[in-house]
Amino acid sequence: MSEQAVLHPDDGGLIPGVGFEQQYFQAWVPRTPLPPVLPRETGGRLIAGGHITEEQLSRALAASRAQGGYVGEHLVANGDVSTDTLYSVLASIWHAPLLDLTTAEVDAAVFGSMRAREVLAHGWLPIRKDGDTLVIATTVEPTAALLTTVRAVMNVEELDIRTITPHDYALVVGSVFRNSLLDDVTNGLADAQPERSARVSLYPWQRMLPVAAIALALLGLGLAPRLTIIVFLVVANIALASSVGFKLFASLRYPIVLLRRRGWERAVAAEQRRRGLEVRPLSQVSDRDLPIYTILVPAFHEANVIGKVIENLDALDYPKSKLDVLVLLEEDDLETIEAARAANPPSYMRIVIVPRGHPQTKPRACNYGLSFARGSLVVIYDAEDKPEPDQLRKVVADFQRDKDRRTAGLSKEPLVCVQCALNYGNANYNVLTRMFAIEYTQWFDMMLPGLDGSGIPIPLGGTSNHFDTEMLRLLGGWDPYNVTEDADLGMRASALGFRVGVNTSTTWEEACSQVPAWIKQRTRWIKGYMITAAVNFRHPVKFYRATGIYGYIGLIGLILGTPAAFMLYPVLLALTVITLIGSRWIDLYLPSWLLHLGMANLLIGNLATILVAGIITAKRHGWRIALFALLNPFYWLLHSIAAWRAAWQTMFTPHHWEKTPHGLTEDDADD
Amino acid sequence: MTVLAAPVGPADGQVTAPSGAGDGISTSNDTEIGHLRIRTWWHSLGRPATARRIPGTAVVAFVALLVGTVASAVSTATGANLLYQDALSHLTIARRILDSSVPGIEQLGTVWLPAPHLLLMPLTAITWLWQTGLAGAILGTGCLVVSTTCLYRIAARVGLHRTGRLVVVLALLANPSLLYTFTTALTEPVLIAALLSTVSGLARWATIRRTPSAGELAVFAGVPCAIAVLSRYEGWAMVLGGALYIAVLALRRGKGARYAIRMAGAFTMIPALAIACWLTYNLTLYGNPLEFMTGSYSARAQYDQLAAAGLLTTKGSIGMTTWVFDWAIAEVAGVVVLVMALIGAAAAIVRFGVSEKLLIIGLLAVPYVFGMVSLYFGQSGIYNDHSQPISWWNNRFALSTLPLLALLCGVAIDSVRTLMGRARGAALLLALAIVGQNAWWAGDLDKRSPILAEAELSRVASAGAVSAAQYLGAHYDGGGILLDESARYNALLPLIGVPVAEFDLRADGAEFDAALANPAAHDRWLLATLPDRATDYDSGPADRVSQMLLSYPQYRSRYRLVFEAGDHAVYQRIGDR
Repeated sequence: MSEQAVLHPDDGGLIPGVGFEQQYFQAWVPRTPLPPVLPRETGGRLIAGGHITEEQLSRALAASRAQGGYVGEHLVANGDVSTDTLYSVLASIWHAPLLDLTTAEVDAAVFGSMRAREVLAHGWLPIRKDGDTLVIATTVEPTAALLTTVRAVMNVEELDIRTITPHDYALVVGSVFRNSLLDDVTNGLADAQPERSARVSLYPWQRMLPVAAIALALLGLGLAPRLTIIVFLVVANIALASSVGFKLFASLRYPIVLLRRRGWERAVAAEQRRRGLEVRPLSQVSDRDLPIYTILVPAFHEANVIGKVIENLDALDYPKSKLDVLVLLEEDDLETIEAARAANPPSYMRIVIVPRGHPQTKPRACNYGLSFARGSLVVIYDAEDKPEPDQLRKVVADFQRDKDRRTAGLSKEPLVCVQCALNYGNANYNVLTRMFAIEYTQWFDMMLPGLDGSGIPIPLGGTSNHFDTEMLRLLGGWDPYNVTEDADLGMRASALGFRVGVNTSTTWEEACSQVPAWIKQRTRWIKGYMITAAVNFRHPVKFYRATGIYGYIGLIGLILGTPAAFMLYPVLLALTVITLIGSRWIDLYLPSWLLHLGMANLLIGNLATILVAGIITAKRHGWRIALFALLNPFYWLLHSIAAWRAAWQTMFTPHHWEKTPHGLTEDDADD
Repeated sequence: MTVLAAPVGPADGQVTAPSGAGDGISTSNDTEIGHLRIRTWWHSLGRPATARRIPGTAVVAFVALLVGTVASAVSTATGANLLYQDALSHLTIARRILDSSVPGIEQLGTVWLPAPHLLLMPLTAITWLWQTGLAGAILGTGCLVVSTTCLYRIAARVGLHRTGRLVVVLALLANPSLLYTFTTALTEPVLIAALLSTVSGLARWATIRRTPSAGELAVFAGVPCAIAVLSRYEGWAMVLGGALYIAVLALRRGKGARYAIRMAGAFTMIPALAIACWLTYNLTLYGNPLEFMTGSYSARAQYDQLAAAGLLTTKGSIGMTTWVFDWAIAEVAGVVVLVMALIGAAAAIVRFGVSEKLLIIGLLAVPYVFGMVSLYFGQSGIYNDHSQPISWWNNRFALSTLPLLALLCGVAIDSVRTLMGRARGAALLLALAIVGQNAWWAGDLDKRSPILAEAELSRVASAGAVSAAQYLGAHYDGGGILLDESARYNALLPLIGVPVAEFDLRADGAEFDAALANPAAHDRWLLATLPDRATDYDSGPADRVSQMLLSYPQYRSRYRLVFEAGDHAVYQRIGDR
């Protein structure tokens, strides 16, 4: 934990309105934002060297004026010049020879007690000592002020200045701080706040709960079987009805949310007109005001899709000079690394090799990437994701609006994350992908937007969650021990007094198209929900105090209710069938109200869900796919298989990560 | 005026927008774009059907909807849709599930398979749809839309060009017997729609570019087959036919036995589940999973009775079976369609050889094979003007072979196109011949169409029963009605129009028995066959109310005869219970 700053209320680094809980929270909090990787204008020198044309320079200058940022950044972003060329020119301007990492000797000892984040914040780093002279390498212009800072920090007088490319710079930091970075990204959260981490997934008393429940049920069945079955059925029916009811409530709240939002937008437009201002959509932020945006793309054994990442992200309508894409690849995944390098990524895309370590999970890779993130906003996309081109701009507007609302006193909790809608581009591929698309459409197009602004915590989806980078660091990043780190983070954000928003801008993904792979994926998700529920129920009173009644509703209705409903569904179904057809042979008299309740629960729950899912899917995908909502009761049986597997794994292999293979859909899709 | 791009050929089907589109184009330009779109769409109808979507499906569905709506309007307005006793029974069973003294799923009984009743149920819950039979007409029209579009899609899947596909639609929709049947609550509409959906799903599986998954096969072919399985026993034969078709195709394509079994399993899974549900239902309610087959109300019991009386001459005689069934087909389909279909069959064998196309056509022959087998083994019976005895009965069983004939007509016309390059002339001639055939039918529809002839026979025979029902409906003032609805010509509940909960019916089981044991204590009204005219020689069980009145004159004395017409009478209790 050597590199973690202890955040104190007096630090001034806190965001107004953040809950008491986080006042004692430890995280990687840089004192200064990371510097831009490219220094000042170098256009003239580049033209003189024959590296670029006048026209290219003019274009970059225009972009710099319109979007902000350095001309060099635009030249690189436009692909007019390579980073290496740019830095070799800068090296000659700065009279600081370019450091060649293949021959240069880097001495880790000269870093002393410096921490990785601190070094990354500087934009320069020490390389070695030659006698009394310290060799440093910089990505930023070695101005007199900078050199004074270096002398003060390193406590030396003599400096030998070299230039280093941002890529080599990150490489040196990653190499020198390999162990401490690894420890940070793996155990940072677990060490700082063990009770919020799933490193220990279940406390002993939690582990005993299912055993005790089974023992009690067996005892009950032995002593008073009828009463036991009645009690079980009542509890199960209530649980199922609560879970389904919660989701329906959230879904049906969406139209109200939509009406309110439109009303707000109309009111703003009216006010703008009244004041004689230009009426602009609220989602419109000028290019100049757009922040640097980090995109994390974790990939593991996905050599077949890495080329698509480039294609998909290139389609984003966002100034490339303000994009900071980090493709996070595991050190031992040589095939993907090779494929990624062979794909010749554009300049705004960096390949970051995540050192080997355990647990080898996506959140660990994301935490590692977060260490190197330059953007003030950060988002995760999966390798095969296709976000809508204007998604980043819309999210920037959401954060801007949140800031405005908080300034105006309309909102207290700061917006830490915006969850965008996920949906499937291969919905029509087979029955499973259709069902998956229906489920996601209801979840992201209706349910989550319905929860927006309700005060109920929103569990994040796997990708397309856009964070305020510093707030995310404040939260402790992702929990690498939780197999649904996204849902966990949503709950943690809520518990720490932050807010998660929803935006319906869509990211198109590839739905898992094979049942065995689907079951594995869903097992992991449900297991994550179970573990997240267990983590948050460790101290129920504390959680209640932190989140209030709405937090509880979310935790029970969604995080705990979802796996519970899936586990109970086949049991209730089987009992109903047995009751219906077994009455001739089994002498099991059940009160008629209970039978009617059970039937009504199953029928109304199923019908209402089918109807709601069908309507919203028809809007998104058309009736051909919406009709498949009728198969939901069968689809839920698949969930049940996954839920029971998840329960088993939660008990015995809580950290086991069953990876979902991508690229299973054939490319020659019909129609 | 901007210049339009040249019309595209049938191969690509892309519309090229004029360069001026969107910037104040003129009305004439709009018209040209409209024409171009229509032309493109028209060309697309001839495109090979290797994709999931088949152009023209929506238009065919719309035409079928239009035709079905007109047929329903005519049939319902004249009351023809309620002439079949079975149609009245189906309406009543569907209604009874929700409206009965003992409502519930057990009201489905075991005489008929349940799917048509379950589909009718939400419609018959609305009283006027039930009373007028519109419930059956609405369901039937829906089935007509499904049947026509599926047959059109099958025609496209077997590679018929535009003219051939349209001929198939014409041959189906121009058949008055089919149109009439689809306005009633009989089981044929659901069966035919389900069978054609199944074959359409199976054809899709075999012909689209990307091999569909097992799940898609289960949904697009297995689910409709399950509906067919729960509609009529032809559906059970389709399960076998479909599984065989999948296995043969998979093996012919070199996919291996494992793949063949997996795919055949995916197809049969849901129909098998449907059968299991039906057996379980029988087991739960009657203690015998085969009650529907061996019970006293089963079709087999009825046919055994006929066979014992020497009235089932097709049983055990391949000659009589072929003669009677083929005549039923010829009279239902019409000579024009039959002849053209025979030509089409020959053309299909020559053109397609043993291929997936011929196998798809072969799937439509499953109902024919089933009809022959069931007639031969005495599991069903048909009377027509070529049977012994001569009468009109069950010729509608031949209707399920009509899609095959219609498809073969399309193959015949398409073969003309293949041979001569054009087929419009031949199609026109066939259309004229079909019009001529219909004109001949229209000359004496009640005698020349065996299905309508049976309806007419029923109308005459049940005239008394219908009058009694109408009388009771008009005069009923509460107090309950005792009626054995299972007896011959007693399926009168929609015509009476009183809520079913007011009745004591044989389907109510113990309650009916209790009412029979002491009718005056239960019901103020009785509707029954006149005791001296009750017979039980043919189809349908005897009227137990009538038998009760005959056996226990003391009960009869508690009632007075208030209406009598034909064989039927209405009794009203004298005084209170």
